Amino acid sequence: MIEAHSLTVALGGRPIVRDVDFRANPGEITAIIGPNGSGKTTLLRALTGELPATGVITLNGRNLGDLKPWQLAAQRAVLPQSTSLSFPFTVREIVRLGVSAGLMQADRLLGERLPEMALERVDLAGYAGRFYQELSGGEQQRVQLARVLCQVWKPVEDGEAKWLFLDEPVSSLDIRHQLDIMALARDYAAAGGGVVAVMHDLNLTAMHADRVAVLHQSRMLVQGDVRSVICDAVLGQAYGCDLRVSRPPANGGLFVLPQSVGTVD
Amino acid sequence: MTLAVSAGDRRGRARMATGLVAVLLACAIAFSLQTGASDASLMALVGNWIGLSDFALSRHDLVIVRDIRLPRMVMGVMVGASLAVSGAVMQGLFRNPLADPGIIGVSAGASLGAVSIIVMGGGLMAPAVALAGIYALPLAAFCGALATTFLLYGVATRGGRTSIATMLLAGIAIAALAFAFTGLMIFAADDRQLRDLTFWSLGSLAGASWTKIASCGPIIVLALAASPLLAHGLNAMALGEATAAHLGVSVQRFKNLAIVAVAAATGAAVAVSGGIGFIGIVVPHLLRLAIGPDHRYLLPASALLGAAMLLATDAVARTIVAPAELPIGIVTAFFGAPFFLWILLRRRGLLDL
Repeated sequence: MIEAHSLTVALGGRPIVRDVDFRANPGEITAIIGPNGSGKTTLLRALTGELPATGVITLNGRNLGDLKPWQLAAQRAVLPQSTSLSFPFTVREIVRLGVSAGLMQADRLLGERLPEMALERVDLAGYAGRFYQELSGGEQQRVQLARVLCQVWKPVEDGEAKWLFLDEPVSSLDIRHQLDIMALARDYAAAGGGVVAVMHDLNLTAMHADRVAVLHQSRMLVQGDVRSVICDAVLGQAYGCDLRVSRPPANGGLFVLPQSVGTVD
Repeated sequence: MTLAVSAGDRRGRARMATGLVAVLLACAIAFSLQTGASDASLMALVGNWIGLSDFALSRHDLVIVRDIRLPRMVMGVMVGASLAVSGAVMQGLFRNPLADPGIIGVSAGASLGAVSIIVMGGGLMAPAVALAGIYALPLAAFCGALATTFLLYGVATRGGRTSIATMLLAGIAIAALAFAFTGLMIFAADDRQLRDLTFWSLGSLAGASWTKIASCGPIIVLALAASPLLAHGLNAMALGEATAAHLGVSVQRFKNLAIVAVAAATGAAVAVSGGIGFIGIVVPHLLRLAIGPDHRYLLPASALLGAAMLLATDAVARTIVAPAELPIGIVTAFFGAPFFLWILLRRRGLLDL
């Protein structure tokens, strides 16, 4: 379990996240949503230990500040919004960085096969020999996801859940890969791991998240079960516009929902 | 194992290339011991050592090889390895293939430290010199290099991201400042000190001696021995500072170790050989083209190729205008500067200048 109490993060003297309580359970996808500038990514960066914060954060019952970087790396992996590379690494070399960060002393044979398996999971089988810098933005994002998966390959180890932190994991992907990646996160949670994702897409959030935390002007507006949060009142207040949940366009306009994929033949 | 299974895996190639470079270094060492103004022959010496007395070996030849060519070779190996490894580490740390101690002012800082000792060693700094003995010069160069590297890192890195433009420009400014102070020292120097300074700043391996090796050797060996500890951190840093931390690297500690190692290696190399540029940029770049940027292989291969390349360049420097000698810094700049421009032009799109 990840718990944060009265968390405040200031960047350059300005509080970006103020007095936030947050909780994420293993076996669930917890989505952090909110308008631009509400502090979603900052909250995620504080939860991963990247940004210094006041307040208490515990990961699987242990104080985040007490964990050494390599201990933390074995517990959770983080997918950033985008990653630029300074040298021409191949896809395999990138993904293998995740293997060496997570498994460490675990068996070599699995470690050697892991990059291939992870690349297959993100629909990039056969990409191992390509140069990272020559891939499209969406492909790069999926390579990074494969690296992140290698770091915490087993969702549960020694009875403890591992964690995936995803910062807008689907923002640069086409709809098919958005669905694939969310299904992958779904599987990870179903196997006992925990997933915390910053999300922009409300439909995908409604479709896949178990719990949703809504940030608004640096504060936690509400956090709870997806059904209690994705409703007209909460979304309207958070995003400042008159949103209607589950209502088709009044004048018969077109719409494409990820929810409808493959349900109608 | 089929080819497809290991696509994108360059570890095998890296090991092979490292072996190849080691052979190259062995050849360069033999060549370096063999050539020189005197016609003392390596074959004769080796023959004499292993007891084949077919070769008559004069005492004169023995002295030339043992006291002139051997220390020169050893120093060439140490200086070449330090310059190349410093370049590779610095490029990884700054996430930029154009970072090099010579270009961004670290060597200038080391020079300032060394010149301070030469000029003020008899006066203001006499107690320090008495304490440090033969290590005074390399230690002073190390301090100068350390100060400039930390300053540069502080100026060029904001929020974990190093701006390439800021780094190159700050490097120019810092180098200019260091040169100004160096000029001030030279202005204040007396005749004897001026002679020492001139000999030192010519930048060559010509003054190699066992004493110099004893003074800079330990620092260089320590810095080179520490470099493999940096390999994993440098690989992770290629994805950015935040991701390196997520991958379990203790980023601040890693950066401090990297900066100290670079400053030590550069400082010691500058202290004994003056300013020899471009080895630190050419060697890692060529190796990255051949074996990829994985620092676990790049660092040792850089050490070997750097040593081999400096020995080869030194051989050119001392034979091309024989019996006179060209300062080696001139030769490396002749090849290195166009190479630098070539990287710049080829990668202009990739560098956010």
